[in-house]
Amino acid sequence: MKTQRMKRFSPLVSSFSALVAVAAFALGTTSALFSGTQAGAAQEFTSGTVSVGLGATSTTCNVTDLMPGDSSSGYGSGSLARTQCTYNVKYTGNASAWLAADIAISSAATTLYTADSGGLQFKVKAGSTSLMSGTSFTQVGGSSSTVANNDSVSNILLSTTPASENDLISFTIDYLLPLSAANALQGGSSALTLTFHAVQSANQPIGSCVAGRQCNTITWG
Amino acid sequence: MVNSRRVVIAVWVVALFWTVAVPGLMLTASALFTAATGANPQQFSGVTFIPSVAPVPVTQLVDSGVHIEWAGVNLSNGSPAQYEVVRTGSDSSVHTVCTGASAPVRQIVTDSCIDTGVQADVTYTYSEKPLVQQNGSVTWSRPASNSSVPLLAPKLRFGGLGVVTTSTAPGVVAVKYPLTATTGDVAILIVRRSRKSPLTAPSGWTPLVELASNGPQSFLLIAWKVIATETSVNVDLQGTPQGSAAWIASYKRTAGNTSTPITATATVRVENAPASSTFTQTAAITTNTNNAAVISIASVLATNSLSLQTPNNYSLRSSTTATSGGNGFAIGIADQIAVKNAVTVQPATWSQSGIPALWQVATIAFS
Repeated sequence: MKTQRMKRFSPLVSSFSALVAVAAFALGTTSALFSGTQAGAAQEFTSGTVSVGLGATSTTCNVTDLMPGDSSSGYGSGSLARTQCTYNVKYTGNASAWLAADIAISSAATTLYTADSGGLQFKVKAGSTSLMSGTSFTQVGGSSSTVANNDSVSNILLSTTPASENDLISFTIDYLLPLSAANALQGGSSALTLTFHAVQSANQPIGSCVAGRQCNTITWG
Repeated sequence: MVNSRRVVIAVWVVALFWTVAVPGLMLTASALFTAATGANPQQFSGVTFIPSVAPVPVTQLVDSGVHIEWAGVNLSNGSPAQYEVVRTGSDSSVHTVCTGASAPVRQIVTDSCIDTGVQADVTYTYSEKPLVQQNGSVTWSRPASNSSVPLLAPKLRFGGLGVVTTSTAPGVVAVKYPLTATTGDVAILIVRRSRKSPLTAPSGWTPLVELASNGPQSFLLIAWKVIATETSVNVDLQGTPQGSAAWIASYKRTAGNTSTPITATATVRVENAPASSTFTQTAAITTNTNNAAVISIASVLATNSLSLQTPNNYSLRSSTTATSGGNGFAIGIADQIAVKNAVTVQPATWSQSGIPALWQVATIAFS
């Protein structure tokens, strides 16, 4: 009986196996779309690529011994004597893409960034587009919000014009430690990390997104 | 069999759905081409003070006021910290001192300044607070140090010693006051001659010590007065070929001391002693007012250098030599402040270099 039942169900089993195989094949082609590095798959399906790389030499800052009143050359106030940090990247995909940046701020137990006007202030720009000013970024609707300490802000749109291959983006990070910085900040340390990312613009309308604000109408992947 | 075929067909329909429809849905939902890259973190750190705890100042009376010194504090960028130095008085006064041209200065590993604003008879403590300034405003600072050991501002403090005047012939000579002496200071005349016949204090001067010695012959005169407007005094040194030498030391009145100086001991201690490399007076001196300046004056008939072997809280203010009539003369001046009335001040031990000569030593006090 077990054997018969097996024989009776063997077409079912084989059909299911075929289903799994087909599904696996289908999923395999789907997962290849997640990566800009699988050039073989892209050629097979003649799709475009979305990839990013480094641009000109960047200045990764390790700013030590900051004192109240110190600021970088591009901040606009303060001493202007410190070095501006830069992060130069390039869009290297051949498919047009939307570009965005994430900003993350982390601090040691003694922090220099307090998420208010009494701590380290930043001016983060991508070209002329402001991504962060002081301690604030701009939300989808245009209202200002604070970048919290030990937190991150995602998907700040760099431009409403899709990027093309070899487009260069220059991020600048200027900073100021205000004269009002409290004594408790002595010896404090904080870090700002930028993440630059791209997503295909095809079949993704920009909607009402504005450069320099968070953009949530686009699926960033 | 029919059922089996239906099942197989159903499975293929599902398979077709998975093959065609689902990937399409996934493409529109999340299977987008994306890429990302992150920069290295941009690091920012604030300056620190080294050491983080403000060192306690050490104070010392100097001619011009109170010298305040403490271990220097640096910033982590290597530059020296600035300071706020605060003086707290027993009269409840609190003042920020060592500002402007008197700001603390760095000397290798210590910072120091001089407070010239002390008032006589007030006891002071000092604290310092390391800080940084931007555009003249204090930004960051450390908590102020603990207070220094209390220090009493004296009524009188050593002002200086004038140039020596020598004589080998009879007659009056002018002995000059120190250049720093001013009206109201206490002038102390010290004359040492190599004969035993007595000298007389000039008019207007109060003799304190008239000490003769027979072997070898010697005479020590010490007299004092409050300086008016004069800059020298005529003294008959009764010069002989054996020579004599005279000096005037001055003690300045500290601000706030409006009283006329007086002697502050009932008994002046005066002793001759045979030649020896060191000498300690056999008796202590007892003051009769608060905050008295107790002064020990030693002299020898030789050009030996005088110093304090055992200071016993005395500070050496001056040590000098002269030659007259072929004889050598040396004097040394040391002092200390006796804070309270009726304090017994133990003598210092004086020392002389070279071949030992006869000692003549006196201890006096003023207030």
